[in-house]
Order: sequence, then structure tokens, then C-alpha cells
Amino acid sequence: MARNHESSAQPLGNVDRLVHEPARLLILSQLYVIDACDFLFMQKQTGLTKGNLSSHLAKLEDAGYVEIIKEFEGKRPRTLLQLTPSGREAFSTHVASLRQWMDGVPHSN
Amino acid sequence: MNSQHESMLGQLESRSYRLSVDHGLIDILVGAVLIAFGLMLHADLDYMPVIVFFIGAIAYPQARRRLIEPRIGHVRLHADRVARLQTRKWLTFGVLLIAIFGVLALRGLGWIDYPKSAAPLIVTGCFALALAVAAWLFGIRRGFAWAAIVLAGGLIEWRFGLDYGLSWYFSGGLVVLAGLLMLARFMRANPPDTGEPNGA
Repeated sequence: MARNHESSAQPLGNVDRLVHEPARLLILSQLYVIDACDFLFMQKQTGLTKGNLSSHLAKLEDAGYVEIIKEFEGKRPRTLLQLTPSGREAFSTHVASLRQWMDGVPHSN
Repeated sequence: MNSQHESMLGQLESRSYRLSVDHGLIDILVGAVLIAFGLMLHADLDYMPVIVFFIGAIAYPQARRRLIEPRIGHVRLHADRVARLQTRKWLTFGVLLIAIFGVLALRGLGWIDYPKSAAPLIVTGCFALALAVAAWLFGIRRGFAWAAIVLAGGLIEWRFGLDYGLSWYFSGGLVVLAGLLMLARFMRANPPDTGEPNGA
């Protein structure tokens, strides 16, 4: 019995904790469905405070999951957030792991 | 990814898209185009739709940059979504051209006939059809209401024998007014960001 429990817990043990954190998961989900957005758009979509969002973005950038791009539109600078290929892969893998973990769970109703 | 995750991500994408179109500027532009058609048909100012089109093409991105982006930020949709939207734009334009010029050409060829008095109904009907198609393709449900208003205007004009083109001022004015109210509500709900422009 205990062995079964251990083997079924394995997929969750492999979960990327950097991605698993709810706020970061929300940020990655948002970036997964668009090409890029600026800080303000992300803040509006996630409902996070500036400080909180900055701190999560810094962690995701350090991990190489999110890229911060500086560009100019005319003379106006713009900072955009974009998911890197490894961030995209990490997000997909995470969702697959969760799905594997949830597979076979009986429905409550 | 399973369908439930995809649908949740789809909802997230739709929300990002809607946030970038639900601010009233599009409605003001549509209303202005309707008024321009009124000026063309009623006041014989044939060049008005072209002028409004060019003013809109220049003013819309400027207004977006100055009024909308400081409030909700900037988003760049996925390339495939952008391509889908471009295809839909051309499809809407095609429907409008086919609907209006198709009817005129068929009448010119003598394949269909309708009394001149029915022209307001035919033209507004074609425009309403194109608006409804655009509303459906772009997922902007209030576009169906604009289509109904344009058609109702045409019906009133035809039924009561009003001056040709008069109804376009009425329907355009209503759509502009609705757009302005929507913009005011949007601006109240989303005050401009006062801190660091991008927080970075």
C-alpha cells in the first residue's frame, strides 16, 4: 500500500516548484497564451501588486523562463515580458505532470 | 494538454483579447463611419467615408496609445491569433463589398429589381449584415446591436419615407454615444498608472 502511495506521489515530486507557485503559474499561463505584454498589462491580468509581480518576474527571469525585452516604439521605450522556449517547455511539462497526477482521481459527483 | 486546460488557457487568451478591444474606441470609429455614410448618401458628400477611413486609420492607434495603454498596458497577441484576426478583417470587408456592390451590380444587370424607394432598406440591410458578420467573427457581441440599430434606422427611413440617408446620422450618433459612454466607464474603471511606466 505504502509502495503504491510512493509511486503515485512520484510525478508530483518531479514538479518544478518554481513554476508550481500560484502567482508564477498565473504569470506563465498568461505569457503562454500571448506573444508578449508589458508590466502593466500583466499586473492588470494577474491582480498582483507591483512589488510582488517584480519579485516573481525576477525569479522567472533568473531561471531563464521569462525574457524581459526592451524596445522602442518611436521615441518611447517599452519593456515587454515574453516566455522563453525553455519557459514554454517548463509550463507544458508542469501541466502534463499535474494531469498525470490527477489522472484516475474519481469524480466527486 | 487536455481539453480542460486548453479551454482555461483559451479563456485567458480571450480575456486578454477582450481587454484590448472593450474600451469604446472601436464603437466611436464605427459610429463615425456610419455618420460618414449618412453624409455621403444624404448630403452627397461622396468623399466622406474615405476621409473618415483615413482619419480613423491615423487617429485610432494614437488614441489607443494615449488613452488605453496607460491604463491597461500593452499586449501583443500570438502571431497565429493576429493572422486569424487579419483574415477576419478581410472577410468582413469582402462581405461588405459583395453585399453592397453585389446588390447594385445585380440590379444594374437587371437580374434583380427593387423599387428605388426600397434602396434605404437594401443598403442599410447590407451594412447591417457586414456589421453582424464582423461582430460574429471578432466575438464583439455588441456589434449585433449596432447591426440591429442600422437596420432599424433603414426600416424607419423606408417606412416613413424620410430623406435618403437620414437614418445613418441617427444610427451613427447612437453608436458614437454608446462608444463615448463605454470609453468614459473604461477610463473611470482603469485610472492611468501613476508609478514606473513598466515597473522595470
